[in-house]
Amino acid sequence: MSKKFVNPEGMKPLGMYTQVTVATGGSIAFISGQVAVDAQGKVVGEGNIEAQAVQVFENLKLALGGIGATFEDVVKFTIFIVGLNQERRKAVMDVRGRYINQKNPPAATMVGIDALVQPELLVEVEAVVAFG
Amino acid sequence: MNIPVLAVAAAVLASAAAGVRAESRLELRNPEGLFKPATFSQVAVAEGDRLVFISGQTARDATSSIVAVGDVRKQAEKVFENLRTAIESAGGSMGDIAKITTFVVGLKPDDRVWIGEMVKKNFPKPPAHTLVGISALAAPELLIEIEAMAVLD
Repeated sequence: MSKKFVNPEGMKPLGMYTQVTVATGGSIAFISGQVAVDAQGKVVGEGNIEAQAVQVFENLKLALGGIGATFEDVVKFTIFIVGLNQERRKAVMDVRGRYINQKNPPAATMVGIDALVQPELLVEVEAVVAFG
Repeated sequence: MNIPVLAVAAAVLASAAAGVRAESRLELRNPEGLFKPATFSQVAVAEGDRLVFISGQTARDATSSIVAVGDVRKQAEKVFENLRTAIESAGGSMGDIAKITTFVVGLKPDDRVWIGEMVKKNFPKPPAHTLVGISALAAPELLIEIEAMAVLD
C-alpha cells in the first residue's frame, strides 16, 4: 500500500487535515461511526465533549488494531458534531491531534448535525482506512 | 487418467457459463473491546479492484416522484429498493456493500431500532453503518437518505 497526502496548489487546508489523500494497492476498510460508548455499549462522558472525543478515538484505535492497521493508515475521517460551534470543534480536533500523524493528517469532512442515536451523544467519527 | 482433467474442465466451463464473476472479498468484523451491535458491523474490510460509490438514495421513483410522503418507514423501503437497483446496475449485489451512511430528518432514539431491523432484512450480513440525525434533505417531503460504498471484483 502506498499513500500520498497532497494539498494541491491553491488549496491550503484551513486546519490539520489534507485536501487529497491517494492510496494505491492493498485493502480498504470502513469503520462504522464511533460514538462515546464503552465495550458494553454504555455512554461515556455525558455532557463532556472532550471526554466523549477521547472515547471515540480509543474506539477507533481498537477498530484499527483489530484489523492490523494504525491511525497512519486512515485516509479519511468524517466527523459529525451535534450543535457544531467553535468550542466543540476545537475540543474534538485537539483530541484527534493526539492520535493522528500530524505531518500527514488524513482527509476530513466535518459536519454539524441535529442528533445522534442517543441524546447524550455529542460526537461521532467514521474512518476510511487503506492498508496491507 | 484423463477423466479427472475432463471433470475439472467441465466445472470451469460450467462456472463460466453461469457468469460467475471474480470474487471480491468483504469481511465484516466486530473487534474485541468494541460493543457488538446486532444490526451493523463495526468494521468492514474489503479487497477488490472496483470501488463503487452510490449517491444518497431517497424515496424517489424512476420518474423522480416522491413516494410515501409523511411515512419515514415506507420511504426507507423505497430507499433500500433504490440501493438494490443501483448496486445491481454495477454488477454487484447487496452483499457487496461494505458501508452505508443513513441520514434521518429529526432522528429519534427509537429510530435506530426499526432502521436496524430493515438493514438486517435487506443485507445478508449488516455492513458498517453510520447513522446521523439532520435537519433537512434536498426536498422538504424527504425524511431519510442512505448512501453506500461497495468493493467489487
